[in-house]
Amino acid sequence: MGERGEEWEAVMLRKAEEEESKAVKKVKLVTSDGVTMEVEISTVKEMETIQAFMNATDTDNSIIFPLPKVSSHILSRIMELMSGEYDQELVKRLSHEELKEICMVANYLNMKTLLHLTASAIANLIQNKSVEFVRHFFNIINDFTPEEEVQLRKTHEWAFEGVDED
Amino acid sequence: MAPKRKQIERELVMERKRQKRRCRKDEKDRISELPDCVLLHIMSFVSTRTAIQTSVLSKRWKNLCKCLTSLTFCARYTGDICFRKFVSWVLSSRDHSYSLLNLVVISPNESDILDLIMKYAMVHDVQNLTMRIDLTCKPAFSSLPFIFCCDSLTSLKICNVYDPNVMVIPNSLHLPFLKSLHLERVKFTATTDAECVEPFSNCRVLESLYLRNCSMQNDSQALRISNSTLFSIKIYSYNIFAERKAYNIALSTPNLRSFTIKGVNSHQLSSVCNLPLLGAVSIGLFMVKSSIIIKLMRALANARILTLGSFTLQSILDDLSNSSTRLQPPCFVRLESFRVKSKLIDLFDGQISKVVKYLLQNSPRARVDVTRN
Repeated sequence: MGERGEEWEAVMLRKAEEEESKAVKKVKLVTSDGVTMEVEISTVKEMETIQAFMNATDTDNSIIFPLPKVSSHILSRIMELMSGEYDQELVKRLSHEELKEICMVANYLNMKTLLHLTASAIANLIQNKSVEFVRHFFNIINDFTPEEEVQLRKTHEWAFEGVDED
Repeated sequence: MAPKRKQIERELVMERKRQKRRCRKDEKDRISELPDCVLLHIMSFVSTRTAIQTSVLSKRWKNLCKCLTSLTFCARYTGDICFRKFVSWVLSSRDHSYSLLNLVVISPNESDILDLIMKYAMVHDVQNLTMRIDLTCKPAFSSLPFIFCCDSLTSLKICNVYDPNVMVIPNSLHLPFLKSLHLERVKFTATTDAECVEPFSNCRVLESLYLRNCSMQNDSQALRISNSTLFSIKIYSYNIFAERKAYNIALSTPNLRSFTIKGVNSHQLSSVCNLPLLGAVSIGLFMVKSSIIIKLMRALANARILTLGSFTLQSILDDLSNSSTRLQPPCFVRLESFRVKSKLIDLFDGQISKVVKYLLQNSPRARVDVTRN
């Protein structure tokens, strides 16, 4: 019985701590389209850019952090991925645009796990694809002159054997 | 040739027009604004060939592929001349200020190219090396001894596909930082008068060892595995044709946590110590006599979780009726869980409990929960 009592006490103590941390530590993220999203401090832990800012300013509560490069749509997608513990299936359901956008945000906020996951998902999409496909996929502006490009392709001729056309 | 070139140029012009149209729609090339490390991170997941193709995307991408830290040279579906050009371009153009972390070489047809890659890898301190060798004749593979004493390697995987004589492992491997070793279809050798072959004892930090279809030069010798840091051993033997020879395996691995043995070969196992930290043991042997299985279990009696394949269980069951060959199983001191994989044969609960009763007859204190999947 004694042991049970102690166990129960520990559980209640943990719950109380959780409540306390919930009550105090929230971070407000303001997205590029003006939406304010309130997230728990634990969520922000993975966003090293914000974490570093918080460590530097050393404020205890209600931090407002503007994210001018992140839309509310993308931020909510990121929250979904985080709460789903970065499930591959969730990543597969993202559109190509979302995937690229999330990869860029992951870099901007320095989120290592998310960056790793999206980078590998993007890599899977461009693996063995033609230059034209990859350019189109990334919206890359080709700044080579046609002569330069032909020359470059010629020097790397061996790399273009057996490429998928789309 | 000339019309083809014209066609490419025409396609390029078209592409440019399309791009201009896209620009007007105000889509920016934001991916190219990402720092090198992110683009290289993406490229680390594609084949080296695809990574090199990205150099044609735009000026931003032109030299990125020279900074790859992971290289994959796959000679499948590629002509020898093409592969040779590919390899020599990468090796000569690479920016050596970037360390070489991972190298994968798949099915090179010519041993001199393999040597070229290996020498480069050794000089540039490769950390993780994977090779798939399907050369059918013994090649003049002169870099092999250097791989086996490379002090930058932390993981080494060699998958030899055809002839084990192509890949003979020397008396002793000197890989001081190697943590993970995976060998397939290699042959172990030692001086002729030695009682045992002991190739791994100089890998002082080895943690996991995977051997698949490996054989011995001299079958009378035992394979001794003595490493104090080793915590996982997996031995798979499916040599049903030419190399179907069982050998003795002698363990001197006081920190071993998990042991898996699968296949059709009746290797015998002994251990110098009682493996005090042993956790999961998995035995998936088939066409192997019950007495061999019981002897294996004697060396692994400290297991906490014992998993048996259905064929293994079946062969114990078959021999139960024959009292002349029946051996006394060991006392399993720490066994907590007994698991049966009954995917391939359907075993009745009654059959399983009969085997469990037999196996645990000398373990009166074991409180074991039996699960099947």
